[in-house]
Amino acid sequence: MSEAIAFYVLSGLVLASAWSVVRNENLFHAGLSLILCFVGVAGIYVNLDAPFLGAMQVLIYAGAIAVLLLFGFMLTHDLMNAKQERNQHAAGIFAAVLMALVLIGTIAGAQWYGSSGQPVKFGVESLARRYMQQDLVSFEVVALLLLASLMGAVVIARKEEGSRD
Amino acid sequence: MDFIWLVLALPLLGSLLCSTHYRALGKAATGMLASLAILGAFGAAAATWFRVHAAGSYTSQLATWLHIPGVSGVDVAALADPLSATMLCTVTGVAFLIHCFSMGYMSDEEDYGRFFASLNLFVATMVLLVMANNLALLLVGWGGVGYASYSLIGFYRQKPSAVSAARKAFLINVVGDVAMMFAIFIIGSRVGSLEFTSFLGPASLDRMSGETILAAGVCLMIAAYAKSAQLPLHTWLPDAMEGPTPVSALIHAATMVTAGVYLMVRCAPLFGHGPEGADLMVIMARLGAITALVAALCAVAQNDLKRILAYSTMSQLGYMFMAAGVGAYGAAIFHLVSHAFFKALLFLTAGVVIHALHGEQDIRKMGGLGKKMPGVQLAFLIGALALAGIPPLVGFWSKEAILLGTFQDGNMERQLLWGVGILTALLTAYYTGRAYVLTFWAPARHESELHLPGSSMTWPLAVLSMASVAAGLAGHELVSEVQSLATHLPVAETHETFGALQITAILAGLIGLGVAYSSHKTGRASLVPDSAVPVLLGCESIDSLSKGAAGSFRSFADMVAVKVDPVISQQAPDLIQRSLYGTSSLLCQLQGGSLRLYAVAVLASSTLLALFVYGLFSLSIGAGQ
Amino acid sequence: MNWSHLLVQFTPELAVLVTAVWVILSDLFLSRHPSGLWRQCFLGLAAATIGAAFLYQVPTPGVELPAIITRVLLVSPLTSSLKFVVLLLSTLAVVFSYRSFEETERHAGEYYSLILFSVLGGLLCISSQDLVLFFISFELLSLPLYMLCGFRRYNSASAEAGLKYFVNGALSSALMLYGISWIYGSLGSTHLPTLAANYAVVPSPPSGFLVGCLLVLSGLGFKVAVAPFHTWAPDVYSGAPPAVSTFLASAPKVTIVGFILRLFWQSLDGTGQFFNLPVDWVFLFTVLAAGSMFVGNLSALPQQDVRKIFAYSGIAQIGYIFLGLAACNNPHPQQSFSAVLFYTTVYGISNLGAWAVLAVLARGQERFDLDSLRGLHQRNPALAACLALCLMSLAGVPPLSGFMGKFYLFRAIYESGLPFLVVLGILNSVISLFYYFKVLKAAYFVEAEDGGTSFLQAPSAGPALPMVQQLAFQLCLWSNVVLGLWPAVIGEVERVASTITQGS
Repeated sequence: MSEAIAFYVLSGLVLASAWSVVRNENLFHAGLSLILCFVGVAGIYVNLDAPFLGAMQVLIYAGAIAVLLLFGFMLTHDLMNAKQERNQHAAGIFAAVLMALVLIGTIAGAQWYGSSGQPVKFGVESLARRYMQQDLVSFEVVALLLLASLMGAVVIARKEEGSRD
Repeated sequence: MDFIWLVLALPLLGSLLCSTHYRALGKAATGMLASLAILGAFGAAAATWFRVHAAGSYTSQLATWLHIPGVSGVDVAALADPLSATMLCTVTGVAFLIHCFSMGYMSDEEDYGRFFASLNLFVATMVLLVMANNLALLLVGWGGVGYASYSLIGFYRQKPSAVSAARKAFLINVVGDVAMMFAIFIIGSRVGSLEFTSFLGPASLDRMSGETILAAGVCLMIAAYAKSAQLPLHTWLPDAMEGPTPVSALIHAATMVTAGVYLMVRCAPLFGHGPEGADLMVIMARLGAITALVAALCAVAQNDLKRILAYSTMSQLGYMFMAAGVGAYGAAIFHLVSHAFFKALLFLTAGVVIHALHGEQDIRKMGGLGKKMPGVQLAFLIGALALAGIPPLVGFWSKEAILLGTFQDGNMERQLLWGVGILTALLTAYYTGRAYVLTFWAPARHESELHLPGSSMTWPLAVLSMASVAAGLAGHELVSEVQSLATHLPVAETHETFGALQITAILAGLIGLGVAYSSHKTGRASLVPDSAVPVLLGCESIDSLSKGAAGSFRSFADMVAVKVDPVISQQAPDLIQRSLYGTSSLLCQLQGGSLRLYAVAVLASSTLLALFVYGLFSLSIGAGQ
Repeated sequence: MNWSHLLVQFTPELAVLVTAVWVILSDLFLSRHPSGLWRQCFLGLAAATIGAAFLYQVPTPGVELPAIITRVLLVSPLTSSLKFVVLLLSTLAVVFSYRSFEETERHAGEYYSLILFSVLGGLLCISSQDLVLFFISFELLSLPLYMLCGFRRYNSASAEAGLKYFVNGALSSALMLYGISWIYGSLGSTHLPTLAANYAVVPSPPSGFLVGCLLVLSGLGFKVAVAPFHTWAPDVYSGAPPAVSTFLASAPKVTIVGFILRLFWQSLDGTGQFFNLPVDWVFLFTVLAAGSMFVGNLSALPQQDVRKIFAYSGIAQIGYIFLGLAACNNPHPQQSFSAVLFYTTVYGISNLGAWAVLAVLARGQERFDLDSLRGLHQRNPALAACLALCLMSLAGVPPLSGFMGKFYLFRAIYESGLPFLVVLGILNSVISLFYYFKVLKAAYFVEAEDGGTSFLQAPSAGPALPMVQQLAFQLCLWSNVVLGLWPAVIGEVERVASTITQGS
């Protein structure tokens, strides 16, 4: 019961903050709402008995990524006071309503495979086992992906002679 | 992989290199390269010939070309049998000599590379045509020959007459191509195989109904008639003289007009099957005889050296079709081969003469060349005697083989055909003699300085002359050898009145020559009164007939163009175009360039897709329950 | 467990990986010389291509590989042949990148290593047996592409292209990942064979699985720019440096089409229906195909920018491939498979050849409107010939490879009992002729205004292309002829196609 209450509260938080991200005219405020949204998701993970995932969510998303985002806003000239353009309401609402229709339909009729209603025992150890055994190849490829992203960051961040900034 | 493929690959490669690298190579090297490619091909063809003679026929399959359900044998495969091997040797051998000749003849031309590239391509396509083991691959060569001849006849593309001659040749050849395609469709759908050895086998032929044989045979015959310039599809051949002389030599001797005869001989079992096949053969023989006679008459009235030779080719091809029509296939091929040699010789010699006279082609303005160019005169004489059928030259033996094959005791039809043949022989001897006498012996009627040929132009003449003489001396043995080409084919029966027939033929030739000598040695231009010329040119009237037909089509088309076309061809495409562009601009407006809208589009369309399919899915689940 | 066999089996991947790392290290520590790095990249990819060809020729040795590998990576005739094609296309794209634009010179290390990572991602995609590995490889394929499109950071068009591609790509990846999670939730696994096994035991087809599949399909469709997921393509193709578009338009598309075939048909039970889901797959694919063909062909008509024409033509071409995929939904899809495979290969090479001409021209010009191609046949006959043959092949002019491809494709569709789709395809081929010939007209029949304002100033002089590029052009040019006429190729493709449904 208490889990259910926690779930609805957290979900409300996530939805409200997400709405604020989209609606807020001030970019910086939108960024702050995003952190709240991430934290809310972390709360849902914890509530689902996956504390490690929740911690990672806080560390990586709420911590690193969102903060990086905010730094980006602050360091970029004139972006702090920039207003979001909000002239595409109709299109956005259209897409969102469609998506909602599909999801409601799907979730309502969902049949989960092998679901017993009990939360699956999920810990750091089993995660590590998967990484090092079953999904070793994927794990290695993730390393390559990071390397490629690093190269990409170099490309994007480089400064050229005669450039404007 | 067999070396028979080299016969095809070398000219193709030569054509490619000549067309792409001739600037880098320069004139001399380009010509040399082209000639060497053909020489190599000849070597490979000769090797194939010897292998076939030692070890019998074989098929070399490179790959399967197309898998068509229900039709087999659409392969890239070559058939090497005595017939194709002989043809390959003839084609490449004669073509090689013509290539060598062209190096001298065309040396002043600007577009040297294009010329040799097309010439090599011409040989390559003809080789493909001959070596193909199925009709589909043969059609590739068949069409290719048409294209290559188009580009060569129209080689002087700044000359309107050359361009229109090329177009005419191409058009009439396309008639043949279409007929050929119909033949392929018929045979493919009725027999299920396009491979010669398969669909010409007795089992397949027995399965074909009479109508099928008739339809396929007619289509094949139309194809062959268009390619070999037989009545009534012959009009392109005299016009094709607009091309450079070596091209004429190639067309007449080796690479093009012989294709029709080859096709008839190749498909002989089809024509030899059943009453329908027999009917077709009768038509073939009659049309052949008529073509031979009519073309010979036409040649008598010509004054252009090359046109005389052109009509003589048509007439000789008529002989070959007549031979094929009476079942004397060996004789047909024998005449084809020997004709290739002496006609190439005649054309090349004519080329030398025209070259020497700075492009003059009218025999009335020639004369007296015999003293200035004795070697050329001798070569032309050998060719002319061979064409006239005077022993011991090779032309005599091959023409005799046809005439003897045609004659049959107690068969009026055959005897009549033979009579036409003899009459044609007489005319042939006369017009050949006339051309020779007027060109070389009669008093000179020109003043200009002669442009004497270089050695590259003369030695091919020597080779061809020697070949004509030597083959003639080998004479009778050769006849039986070549007859054996057709061992698998139905053979015409032998006959008794051997001596008399031969003597008649020789006499016909001698009389013709005699008349020509006695009446033209003084330089008199023509025996034929002017009023009779239109009668003789009867076969050219087909040209004007077709022009008339074309004219009526034309006026109909003009009417359509004025009345109907503006509606159909302008407004309708306009409408289509406008509607296409209208839709298109609508679509382009959607492509506004806004990143967010793109994102929305991706999101919305994937969900729409899901929604849509999901709806169908739940419906079907609902229906299933 | 025999690791040396592992090395042999995955030679292409390992060669690309080693080259990528080598290029980075060499750029850092050895030499920053651009042509040196280009050469290393080219040699590495060429070696990988040869390795892939060898693996395709030599049947896989019957040696047990470690289960950790075989569980997630599949080696079959299909994957080997696809890898060969992808590597060949990538090698050619790298060859044409040389000196194509300024930044390849200044940041050669980054440029070539990004291409190599992308190729590696593609190779892993082709082989992957597990949706998680597939997704990560897919990202490894995509991320470098975003960067490459925006590689000319200070060129606003290029930066815009990079950003647009990135944002939209991220969105579609997110959708795909969401779809994968639905698949996992519905069937309890991401491993394709396990999925099939689990599917066999569930009582009724789970709707979540269907939605998951559709979302994955839409992600894949985004990558190949099939309508309605094509919106990014015109802007990105025309904004990105042409050398990048050359790569973007060829190798990744072959990769994804190959994976679609594998995902939807390889783990089949032979019924020809994807997991027996009661969905009209023919209709679904037809909608996508028809949309792509019409949108691509119609939008290409009024374009003046050659890059946009090529971009829309790419969308239309994917439409033909999806028509073929629609025809794969029947109990005997082998013929359709081989048609799709052959057409995809042909499309990849012809499209690459056409783009390559622009990539090389980009050395001397910024604009790519139709006028900029004026008199190309005088300025550079070889380039013009390559452009002409590739475009005519794409348009389906006989006897070029594109014609043969379309012929096989339409025949397969017809024999699958879908004559209406053949009509659609032919109608669109006719429309497409119009704009292909518009480009050719500019290149061949319009004389240059002042002897050529761009690229080579004098008709015969000018900077000669490197030997390798010339050879690569010849390869593109002749492949259009050879693939169309050389029958053995079809035979090989049919052989590969016949193995697709044979288990996994």
